[in-house]
Amino acid sequence: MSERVHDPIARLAVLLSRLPGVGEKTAQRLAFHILESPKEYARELSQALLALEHDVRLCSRCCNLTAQEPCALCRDPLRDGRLLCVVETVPDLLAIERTREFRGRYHVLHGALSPLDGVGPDRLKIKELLARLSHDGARTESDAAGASSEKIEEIILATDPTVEGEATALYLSRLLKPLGLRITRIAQGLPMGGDLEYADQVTLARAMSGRREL
Amino acid sequence: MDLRAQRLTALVLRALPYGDSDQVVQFLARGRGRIAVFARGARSSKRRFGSALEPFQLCEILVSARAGAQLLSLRESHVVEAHAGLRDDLHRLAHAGYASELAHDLTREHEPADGLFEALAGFLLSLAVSPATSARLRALELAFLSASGLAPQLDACARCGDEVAPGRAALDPAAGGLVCSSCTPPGALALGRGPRALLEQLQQRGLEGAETPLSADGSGRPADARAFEEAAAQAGIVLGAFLVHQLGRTPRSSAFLEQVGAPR
Repeated sequence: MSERVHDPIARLAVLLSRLPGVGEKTAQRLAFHILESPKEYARELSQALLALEHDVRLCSRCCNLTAQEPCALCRDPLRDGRLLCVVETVPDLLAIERTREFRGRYHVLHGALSPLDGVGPDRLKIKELLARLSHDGARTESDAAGASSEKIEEIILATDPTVEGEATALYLSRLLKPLGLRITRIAQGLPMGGDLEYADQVTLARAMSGRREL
Repeated sequence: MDLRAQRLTALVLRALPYGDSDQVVQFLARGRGRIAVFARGARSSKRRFGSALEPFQLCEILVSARAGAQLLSLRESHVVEAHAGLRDDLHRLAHAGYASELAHDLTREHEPADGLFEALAGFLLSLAVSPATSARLRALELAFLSASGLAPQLDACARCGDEVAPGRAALDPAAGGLVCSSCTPPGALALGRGPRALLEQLQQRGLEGAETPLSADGSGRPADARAFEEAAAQAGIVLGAFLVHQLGRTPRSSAFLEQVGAPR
């Protein structure tokens, strides 16, 4: 364990090796790189790491990770508050943001239901989603200044097309439909640049059943 | 170096991430039992295996053993039966998850378990096209227990061998089945007439008994489907305790069934 390692270089290497995709040798190389860099770099790095722990929290509205309350996406007055996209994780949110297609708001579940691992709804940020949609909390999304408020009209379920993601989408659709909102699921099928011939039967079947008129 | 490659028909029980780009997939293979297979690049690229490593699918796989490697290596996987209907219903997914977990826990690696394989394959095929029911779940549990040599004794007292009078039965997991009133230990779970008749029928008829239930009076007439399903749910409490005793733990997925309101 790192706590028992007294040598600072070895300690740093052990801690770095816990990062995903970083093996023992890479961790050692990174540790030496930091050691050989200008002193300000190590200081800035340590401050950035501490700031992660001190400042980053969940946005009280959308459960995104943020250093400000509410997060920048919830504060942005130009976003369409009528659309709410539900995603499993923060990286999923960032992936959708990179498309620049979606200008609505988000809700991050921080996981997915898992029939195999027994991960139930109580382990996800579903209560927070319901609180956001509840009538007494007002089914409205206000901008930071409170200048305008918009009712959520559509919930887009953007969970993964895996067993866990499908289970989550099915559960949420059953839960949210009685609220009278439009519930949609992101399309599934062939990737851009893909080849029909090499597509697997499940993906192709989904693409066929999800076809749309041109 | 490849020592040998083998083509197998297998059901995907589950796939776990391994590092950033790989997966370890648990298959239940016909003729081979449960096997753990290393799928290189399965996470980082979907080109090689596509969706063929998603749980509950029946696949044709090509695996090879490598010298010095603990896990088999997955070279190809093609979906034979996707059981696509499972993904349209949360309760079906919950039942499929429970079935996969039981199949995993009742088998050992590299020990052929063809009875269990066929029971799971039949269950998933049927579940994919019809609603999730308690009766089918009981039939699966009994089929799994039977295939594992752990079937509860239902025709006579598991302690003294005497006939167990109708309506006075209890199930004693430690004894391995029904016990008569004089052998019933404190804490044994009472088994009513209806649930007992249901378990007997499902043990004899298997999954077919759940699909086309017959009346308990022996007339051969179809059973009242609603009463049959209620009896199956009641029998689930007793059979569930029997399973927990045999497994030594409560399946994780059984809590999920409850949380999403699936028939139990």
